[in-house]
Amino acid sequence: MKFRPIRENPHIYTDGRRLYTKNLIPGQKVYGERIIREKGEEYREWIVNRSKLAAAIKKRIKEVPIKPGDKILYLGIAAGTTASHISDIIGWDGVIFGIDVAPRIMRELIPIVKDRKNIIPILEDASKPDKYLHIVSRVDLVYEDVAQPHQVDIFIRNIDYYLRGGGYGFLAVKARSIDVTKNPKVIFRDVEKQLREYGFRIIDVVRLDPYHKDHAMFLIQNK
Amino acid sequence: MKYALVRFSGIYLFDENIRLVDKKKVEFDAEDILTIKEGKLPNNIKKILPQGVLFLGQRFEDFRTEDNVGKIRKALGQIRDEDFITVQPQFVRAAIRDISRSVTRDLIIIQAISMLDDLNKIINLMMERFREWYELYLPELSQMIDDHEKFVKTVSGKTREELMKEYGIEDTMGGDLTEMDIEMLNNISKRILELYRLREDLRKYIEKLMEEVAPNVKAIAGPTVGARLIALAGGLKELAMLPASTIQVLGAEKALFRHLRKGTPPPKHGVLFNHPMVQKLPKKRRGAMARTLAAKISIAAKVDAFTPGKFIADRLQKELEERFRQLKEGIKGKTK
Ligand SMILES: C[S@@+](CC[C@H](N)C(=O)[O-])C[C@H]1O[C@@H](n2cnc3c(N)ncnc32)[C@H](O)[C@@H]1O
Repeated sequence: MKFRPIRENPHIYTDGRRLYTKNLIPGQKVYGERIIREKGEEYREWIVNRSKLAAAIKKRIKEVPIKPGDKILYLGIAAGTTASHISDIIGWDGVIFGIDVAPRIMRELIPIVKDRKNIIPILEDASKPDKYLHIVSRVDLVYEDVAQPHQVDIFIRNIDYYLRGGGYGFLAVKARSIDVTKNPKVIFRDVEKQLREYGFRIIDVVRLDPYHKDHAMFLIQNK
Repeated sequence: MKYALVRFSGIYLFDENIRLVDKKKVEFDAEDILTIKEGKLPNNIKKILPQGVLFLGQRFEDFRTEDNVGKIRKALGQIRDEDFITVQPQFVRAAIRDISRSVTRDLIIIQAISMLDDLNKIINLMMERFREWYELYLPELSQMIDDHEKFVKTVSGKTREELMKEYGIEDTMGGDLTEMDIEMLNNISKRILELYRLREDLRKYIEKLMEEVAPNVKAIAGPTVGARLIALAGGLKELAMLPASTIQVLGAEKALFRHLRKGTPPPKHGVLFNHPMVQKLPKKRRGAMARTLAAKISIAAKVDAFTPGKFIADRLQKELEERFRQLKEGIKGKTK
């Protein structure tokens, strides 16, 4: 067989070089990725240069704790590039609450979620988690990629509200959006310290270079 | 019953220890979702709400809110069996309406001023090519008229002979083009003139839009500089929320990053450089003028964004002129 699951997650596939997920919505392309059909299944390429989570997997982050049926709070969902692959993995029993503050980018998400009904689009500011208390439930995972100076605070606040005990959190950090003058290494160390001091278990931190310059992915587990 | 939480699936009621005691089912549509977003309670929920409840984390008109995160967490932990996939289309519909409502008139200003900038680039590009082409025909004239617009206006629809007579050109280094060649040149010059007219229309349009949307900013910064500031900030509210020190260097992001990273001198102005009051001062004083200007624009933007209809620009303008005079006469003073 050409496609086999990767070691870290049985629902993510590889052909030896590239990453793929099984397309939940056959025929739907989300961002110009390739679709390959094999034995009645459709595999959608997960492009590492376009998705920070894919890059983190490529850089061998220790775990990818996402499974069918999971509920996920996604902060900074943008046009749904990464979220669409998570949506493939969690399937029809799972749900993604997709928050983004920018109407301009949400415009591109809407056509995708018309078919991908396991993504709920929410136009709100993630620094105000009380604004979506009427829809977001307790979740298994919080994924954040907002590229904002106060991104760690946003992450922690949302976890406080919504992440179940023992749940996981992915935080994609862009060094330059925290401070352009500091060395990325120093910034990542500060972020790690902040997360640890808050009481999270840090499972892994990987640099996303060369796929995403001066970015790192943090994976934590909640108390 | 003490606490309440409104969910798309109904209203959940909790006792003082945040134990779920009751749930009332409610049907939710896109309209209700938007009502909640605005901090109001939909009528169908108001009807069934017990007296005197405290909302957990949620803020609604005429109701009190409990902000303790631990309590909110505990409440959420007891909510189960909600059917997300079925309500998803309602949320999509709500998001569509939400996106539609977010189209404010300052967004049109951003597009219009960006189009003006694009158009300037396009016109320049075409004019450079047009001149080069035209120089095969009558190079002497191109050398005599530097201004692009004037040049294209001059040659459009005229024969080489007419032009040579008009400009006293006795002999030309230009070649003999055929009728077909000349017709094409004429065709192009006409289209470029149309682009100049489009640019003029755009300018007037931006001026009108600015008068309508940001009259105070327009009066202080001028319509195009004001529009550029709005574009760089990403909107009028966004501009109003920026500190004056940032407004001062909007448009000079590259220099600013260089300053922050490598310690080169900080930029003194961005697009404010194009403001006549900055332009008319000697180099050394421009930074000071830009600082005052930014402070006044910041005030103007706040008024335009948060108290539309109010006009204070005449007062600001007086203060600006005063500062301009001081700087012109070389008296150093503090920014007012
Ligand atoms: C780098 S993009 C995310 C890309 C996306 N995660 C992906 O991989 O497909 C960052 C997004 O965060 C959004 N964002 C920034 N600040 C935000 C906030 N306070 N709340 C919600 N979204 C925010 C931006 O609008 C933008 O769409």
